Amino acid sequence: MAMPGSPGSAAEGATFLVHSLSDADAFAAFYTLYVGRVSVYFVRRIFDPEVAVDLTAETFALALERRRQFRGRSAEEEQGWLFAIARSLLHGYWRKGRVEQTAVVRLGRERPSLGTEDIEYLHRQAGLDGLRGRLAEALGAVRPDQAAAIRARVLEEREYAEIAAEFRTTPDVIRARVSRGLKTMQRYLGDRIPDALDA
Amino acid sequence: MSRDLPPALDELRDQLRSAAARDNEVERRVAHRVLGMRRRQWLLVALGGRWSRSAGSRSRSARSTAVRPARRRAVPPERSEADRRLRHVAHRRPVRVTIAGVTRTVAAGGPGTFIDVREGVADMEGASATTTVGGQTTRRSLGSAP
Repeated sequence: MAMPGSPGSAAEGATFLVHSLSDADAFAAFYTLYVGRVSVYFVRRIFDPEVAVDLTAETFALALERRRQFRGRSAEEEQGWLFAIARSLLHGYWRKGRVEQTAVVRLGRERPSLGTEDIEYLHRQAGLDGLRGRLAEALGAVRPDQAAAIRARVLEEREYAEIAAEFRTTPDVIRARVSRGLKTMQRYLGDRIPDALDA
Repeated sequence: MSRDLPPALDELRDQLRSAAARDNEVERRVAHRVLGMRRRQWLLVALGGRWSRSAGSRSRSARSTAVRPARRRAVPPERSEADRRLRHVAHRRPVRVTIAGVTRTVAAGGPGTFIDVREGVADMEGASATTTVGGQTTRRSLGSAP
């Protein structure tokens, strides 16, 4: 099996998804090949590692469920297919303010609590530390109530329920403020943050 | 392979691998079953009268036994026809099926009943189905089923 980033891995990636229909290890290899890019894609748009991991898990769970629908033959088509799922989930998150985890639930997976190692990995991979200045600038372009929700949730890593109690509203409202605020930030940043596909 | 991934993503990889293995196994079983169904042959057992599969009719006056091989279809017209015409003359005699030297007796049910006789058996040479109605025994080779 080719390793992520190893020579020829992209070319062999297409075969991973197809081969996974008869060999479960091939799906693990497919996951290993793309998980870094998918998680970076989400982290750079949501800035919340927990949500990013939830969306990453849902992306691959859906890919697992739908892999028989994949008709492509190249690594590019395979990558495009996977990121189409990721994009759809991201827009769903921005629209609803919460992560739909239907495929993950069908998978029987329990939501993991992220440790320091996980968060540091995601920050490092996404290069968030280097983006701090631009993120602060983008946060200034967001509505005050949404910016406050983002600060509490993303920067201070507080629970939605706790933030909701402080703002005397419901966790769903806070979720919506965070997701819409992040969407505004993403729009503001535009192509000033390199896309995960270019990472 | 996953040494570069943090614990949460590493764990997810293992869960996805296990789920893929389960899914592949289910799919393999379903495919095997569908394949088996394609290969499966069914006996249309019409008792208590002659039944012409081509004409779809039987002579009520002739009391004979017929054991006819047939291939099951998604919508089996033979079965529907036989059920409609022959249900009232059911003898429900058992049918002895011999395949690869092993004989088993199956309950035929009413006329028009399909009996699975080939599932999982590749060698049909010498296979037969035998039934007795009114003292008359009929033996039918299964090797030349359509």
